[in-house]
Amino acid sequence: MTAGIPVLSLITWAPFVGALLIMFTARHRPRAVRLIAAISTGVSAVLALWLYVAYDRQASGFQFYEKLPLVPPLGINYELAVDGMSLLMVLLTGIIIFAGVFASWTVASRSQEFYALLLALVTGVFGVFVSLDLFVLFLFYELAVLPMYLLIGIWGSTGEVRPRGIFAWAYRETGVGTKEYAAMKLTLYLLFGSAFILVGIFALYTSSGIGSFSFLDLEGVAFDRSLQRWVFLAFYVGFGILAGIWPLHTWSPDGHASAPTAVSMLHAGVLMKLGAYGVVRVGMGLLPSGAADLAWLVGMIACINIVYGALSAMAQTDLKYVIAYSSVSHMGIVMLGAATLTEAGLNGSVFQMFAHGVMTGLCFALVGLVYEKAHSREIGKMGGFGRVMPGIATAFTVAGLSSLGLPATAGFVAELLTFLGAWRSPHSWWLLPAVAGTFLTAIYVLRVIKQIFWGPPSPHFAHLEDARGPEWVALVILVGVIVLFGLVPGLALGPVDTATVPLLARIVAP
Amino acid sequence: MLAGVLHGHLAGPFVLLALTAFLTAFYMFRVVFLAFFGRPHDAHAHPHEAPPLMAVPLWILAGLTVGIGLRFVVHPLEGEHGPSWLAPLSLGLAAAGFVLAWATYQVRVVSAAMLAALFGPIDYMARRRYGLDALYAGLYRAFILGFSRLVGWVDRYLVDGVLNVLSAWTLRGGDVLRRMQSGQPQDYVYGVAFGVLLLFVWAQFWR
Repeated sequence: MTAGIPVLSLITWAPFVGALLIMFTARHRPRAVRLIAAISTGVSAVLALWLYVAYDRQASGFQFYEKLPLVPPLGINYELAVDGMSLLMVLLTGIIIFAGVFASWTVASRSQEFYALLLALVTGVFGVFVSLDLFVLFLFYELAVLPMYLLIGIWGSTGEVRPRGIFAWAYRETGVGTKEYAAMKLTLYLLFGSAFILVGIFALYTSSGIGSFSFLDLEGVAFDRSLQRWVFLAFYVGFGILAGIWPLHTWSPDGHASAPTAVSMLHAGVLMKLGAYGVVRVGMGLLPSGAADLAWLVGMIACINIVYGALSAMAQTDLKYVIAYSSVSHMGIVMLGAATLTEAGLNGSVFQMFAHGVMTGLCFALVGLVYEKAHSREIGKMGGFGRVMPGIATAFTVAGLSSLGLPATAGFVAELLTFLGAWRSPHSWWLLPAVAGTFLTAIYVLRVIKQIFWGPPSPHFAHLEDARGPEWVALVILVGVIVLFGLVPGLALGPVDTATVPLLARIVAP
Repeated sequence: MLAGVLHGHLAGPFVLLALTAFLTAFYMFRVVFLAFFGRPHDAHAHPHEAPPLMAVPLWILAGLTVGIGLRFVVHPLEGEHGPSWLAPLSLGLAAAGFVLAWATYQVRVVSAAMLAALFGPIDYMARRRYGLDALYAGLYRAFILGFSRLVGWVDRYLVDGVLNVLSAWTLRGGDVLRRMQSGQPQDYVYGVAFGVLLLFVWAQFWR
């Protein structure tokens, strides 16, 4: 802590202040809106970077601690702190939202409300990562989910899904494919998950008997073993819905595809990591034997996620759906790393949260650009775009290579560590679906890149152009981060290790 | 390598390696004769020398190739050299390959078509890359693409379908239950009366 400046509060609330400023001062002035958004997210991003540099890598445990009593009789406090894991997530959020503000530069209608909602959402995300009080964590979680409904429902894009199969009648009745459908589905599904989380939180609160929601206090309580098992299950289902575990993942493809660019970037890049972070921090951190008992379930479903997501991605014809299913697949790698209960695996899991967050943020930013220029997401109609938009093509290729885990990209480090963890875990066979998933990922990623960017020019599109002006900001930052952390993974693994080793020590009893 | 294989008493591999030496000389010099010597196919083609940026590295590599080869002739390696007939045999095989290529593709006294016909089945298979490419493509299309389409369909129409069914039922259920609110006070009085009756019955049974 430096001179008592509440850095974490600044990082968390700067975007919210920006949102308030936008709502009250920038009516009908789109440039002012964007300036305020860029500055407030810039403040968060710069402070997150400073936090990253100032973090003491030799010490384990939480740093930059802040506390403010909220409801003392109930034990609810505004408690913030970061450890190695949440540090990386805060950095990720700062990078993604800063890039996201620039990727949304061309939002045409009602940009004031758009940016205000986006910034409020980001506050929620930051809050979840830095919060140490479970109740306040839940409040921030809701803040991170609810603006999604408006953001997707108003500024999203509608696709077309032809009803087929035995449930086709249900598709017609619920209006599948429209952005309103995607918005409603996403919000209701995530709220359904948050119900499980709330039940788990209250179960811990009442059974601990200490009358505090604080993570630090609850960490010291030894909960009954069977209680741990079902509460961990509740947390796993609740947070897992947000993380996109199979079969509770179907809100994700529709949500990502229908959402506007920055919302997709934020959602796939950061929000899904909220879910995985919740499972690790709250589930594994507070319920060690519950986690150890149910690790087999987490790992098995993660393996299904990896292979199923990759196969589904291969079958899609809409570019955004490819990336959405790719996210489902990569979140499987995150959950697999956590389920291995090994140091390498958990480090790989957290690193994959970061690497995939950046990579998928980049992918969605690029897809947003392509969609904006070509007004289509149909892969079948595209071809030869690399000739007219070489910058976008290169960035997309780097993102794709990180996705399939090419060395020198961040994705490689993440996947290698996860696979190592899988091998060293009691369930070594998890390595097989994981590696098969990488193989399948290579197939669909390279195929999509070839179909869109290389080859002869498509007759359907003319007058396409490369990224310009503010659009480059997002691309350059994200590509740079992917390559930087691919070449120097120690930058991230150092602090992460100080967090994962003590966490594992409590679960895997020596 | 030939010496080592002989030393290990591996007859089959020795024959194959020797044959390969002959064939390598043949196909390499076939390319050289067809591409660089003889009459041009297309009268309108104007090939030119590679620019120095490309040619100089090629010269360096060529020089190194010859140099390394000569060095090991002058200062042979330690270890097994094989019987004295081995080195002349391998050189002879290479020379034979060169001569056959020269005869077929430079002076054209041996007919290439006749050679191909001589090795009919092998020629047929080689032109179709032994069917391996076709096999991989077939497996990819049938299994990987096919399976991926199945999984994509299952996810979109079954896994998501269950969800949409629950959603549709909720909507329908809401439509049905909505009719409870008829707006007629008589219906509400009936409801209250029925509820009170239920409470009496319940109180009796759970005394």
